[in-house]
Amino acid sequence: MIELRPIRRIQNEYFALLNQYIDLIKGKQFEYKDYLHMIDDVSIFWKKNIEKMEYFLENIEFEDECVYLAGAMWIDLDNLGHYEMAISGKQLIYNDPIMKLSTFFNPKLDEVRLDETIKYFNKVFIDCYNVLELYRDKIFVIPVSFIFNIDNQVREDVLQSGSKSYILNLFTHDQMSFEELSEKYKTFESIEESLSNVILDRIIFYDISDNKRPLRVRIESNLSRMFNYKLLRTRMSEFQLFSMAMNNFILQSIDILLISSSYHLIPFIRSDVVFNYYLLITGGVNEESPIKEISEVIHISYMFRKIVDFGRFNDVGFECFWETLINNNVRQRLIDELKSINRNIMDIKPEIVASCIYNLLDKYYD
Amino acid sequence: MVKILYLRNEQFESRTAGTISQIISSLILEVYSVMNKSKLKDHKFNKGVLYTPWNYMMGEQLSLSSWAKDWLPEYIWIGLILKYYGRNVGLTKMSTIMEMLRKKDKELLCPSISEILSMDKSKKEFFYDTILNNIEPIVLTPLTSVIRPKDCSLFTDKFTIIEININEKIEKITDCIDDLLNHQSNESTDIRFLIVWFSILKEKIFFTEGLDVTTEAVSQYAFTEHDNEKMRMYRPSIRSLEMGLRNKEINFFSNHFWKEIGMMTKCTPIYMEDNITMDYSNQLFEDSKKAIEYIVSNNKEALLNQSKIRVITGLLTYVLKIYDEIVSNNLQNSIISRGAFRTMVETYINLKYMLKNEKDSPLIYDIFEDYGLGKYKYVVVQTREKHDEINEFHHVRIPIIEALVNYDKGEEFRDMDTRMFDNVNIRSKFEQVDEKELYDLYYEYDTNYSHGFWGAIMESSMLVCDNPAHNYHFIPDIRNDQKLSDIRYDCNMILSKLMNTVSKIYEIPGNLKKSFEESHD
Repeated sequence: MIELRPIRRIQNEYFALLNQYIDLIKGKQFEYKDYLHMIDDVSIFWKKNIEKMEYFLENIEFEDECVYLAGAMWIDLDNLGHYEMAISGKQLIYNDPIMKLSTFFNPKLDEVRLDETIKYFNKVFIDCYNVLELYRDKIFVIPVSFIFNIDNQVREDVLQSGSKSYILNLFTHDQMSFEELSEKYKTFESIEESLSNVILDRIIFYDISDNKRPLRVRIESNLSRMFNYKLLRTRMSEFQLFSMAMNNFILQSIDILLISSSYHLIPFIRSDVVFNYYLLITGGVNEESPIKEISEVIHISYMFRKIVDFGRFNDVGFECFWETLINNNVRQRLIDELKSINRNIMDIKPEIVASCIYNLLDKYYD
Repeated sequence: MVKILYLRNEQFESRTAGTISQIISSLILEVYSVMNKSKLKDHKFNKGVLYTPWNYMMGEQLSLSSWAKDWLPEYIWIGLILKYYGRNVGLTKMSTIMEMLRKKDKELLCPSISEILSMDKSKKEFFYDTILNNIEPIVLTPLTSVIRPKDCSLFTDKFTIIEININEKIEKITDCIDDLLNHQSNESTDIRFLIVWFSILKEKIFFTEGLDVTTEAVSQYAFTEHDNEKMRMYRPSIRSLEMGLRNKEINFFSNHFWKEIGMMTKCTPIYMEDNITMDYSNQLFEDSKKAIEYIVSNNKEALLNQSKIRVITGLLTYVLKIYDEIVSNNLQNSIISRGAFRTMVETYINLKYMLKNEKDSPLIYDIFEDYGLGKYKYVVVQTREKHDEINEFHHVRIPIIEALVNYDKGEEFRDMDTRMFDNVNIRSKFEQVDEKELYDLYYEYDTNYSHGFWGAIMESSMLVCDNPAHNYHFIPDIRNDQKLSDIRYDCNMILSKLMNTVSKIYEIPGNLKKSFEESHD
């Protein structure tokens, strides 16, 4: 059973901290060094509260229904991103985006595109600030990954070996090491030719329509978004670039799995791309794993987000919308109804799922 | 003999008497820190308290000043410079910096961070630029983790290196703290020398004739390597001098520093593991059980109605049961074993005491029984009158103890003696039976466990945190990592003493008697 009072106090303090910077960020009066100072201040803030965060996370049970926004950097209040998560559970947690983006502010990483990073950072900062201002007793900003990574060499080992294994397994007929594959597949085209269509369809980086593009286009446009791709090309082979692009999403998915299992969180995966990789990774998870148990919840939450037009509920107000879902146990009702159609709800056609969802929503909302 | 140093400074002259007293106490403390510890007889006994010679002599005048807690943070900037450049180059650079500061700022008493942060902007700017003319900014970058822009933006502007992230800064500070925590370390003494040197440059210290050691120490310290024998003389002199210069009025940075660096870093608790292995055999226990069996089976008539044998065998059995509970439940490293052992010791002493006094007090065994049952009666009477809430879930079984209280005579004929047994305190009992050593070591020590006094709690239930940034504080051992040393050796010792005593009163099999004698030896 979780205790929320320390978390609420921390949210208040974090809001006060970010409040010192909001006007400067909105007014675009920040220089690069100011971002670094602020990131240091945020790091120091979380470091000072680590023990409280650890206690909170380590005492969550699945019954507490704590939802964790995974595969997304921000709530995106303007586009009702918080409504999307509401069906998933009773407490909403999302990773502090400032800590997540801080790695891109490392001056040693000259391949990072700083201008894009700053633009994106400002966007997520303002969103985070707004979340804290409006909903800090309901949506909790917690640097979950940061805390999970502390003294966690095991995690690092699992991530790296897991990701490497996954990429190697794409080339099952080769039975080669990473270095050997790197030698063999010198171009994106040669990689593309050796992969089956089934696998190639799932290698997406931007959205689902990626699978209609050549592999080269997929990779280059993905890496160009956040990195100086010309610089990367001078330092890495095409196979390495392919692995780097894949790695990003595979690592994310394995990380979601590790964090969710460790802290008994229900991951809400907004990104289609990450959800795609998450399904690929968890396809191999043990049937007895707690993650398998909540896979229905994850799937329903994803479908809910894809199907519902949340603009319809804007007038209802987020708190009312959410409380109605929780108090009426809408999620479980939906799962029960879908199971009465097919025991494996993931096999049910989206139109039928949509119909069930809207029937339930019409019942509880005017 | 202590030489007095005269300080020339308006601030001090008006408080000369107190100041000189502080200097004396600090000088003596420095000297005493390397001397032997006081014996028990050196302590002064007054109204139940044993005062140390120091505390007794100095009384309220004595004020302790902790280098680590109060002063290390103030001078950690010097520590970072010395660590980065090495001792020789570092001392040279600091000498240059101090010379420039001395010329510019006549009011600066000592180069502590509190003093620096209290300066006006132009002086601060000069100070930082002076430092930057002599060192790379990266040297003091770690301090920007505790001095943030909101504390002093001028400092962070001058000394922030963006390539150094917060974790690296904290690590460097923690490493430096590790070197400086011990007030007598070479690194700490180097800093303390620089503080003294600054006062000399500012003409705040003058030396009278005859202070040859001190003047030599001050003039030669910087040019003498630490492994030189002369430093064994120089270092204490320097430290004594520095202690007298401390001014707690401007010292706010230390609290801020420890709070910031402490909160930013995690505890790293360590526990101690006893690596002494004991070859334990339960033979003594088995032999003791056999001996009691023999006594009981061969003294049935006496057991029917004689209090002496009843009490003695009862005490023996009580001790054996405690022993068995410790060993068979693997409690030899536990907290509870200490309280249990104390009970074993006290039971043994009670037995010896009664044996010693039975001639003068033939009814002593009856008195012992009556005393104990009187204690039980007190519980019964209290419960009847005050505690309705006792139910079957409580471990105090009132019906049973009520039956015991009334077993040989009605409780209306049983008095309740609220004093110690036989109105003799436990310590006297130990002395009377020539077991004072048992009292001084074991009983005194284990009493701390029975009463939950702080020493026992620290030893058993708190872990020292190995993080230098936490000043080696203690934290609760909530995961139960810390175990205590094995108590079985001492349990055997008491058991064999007990069995040897009893074997002199009652006949027991020869082989057992022999084994008790051997184990006692």
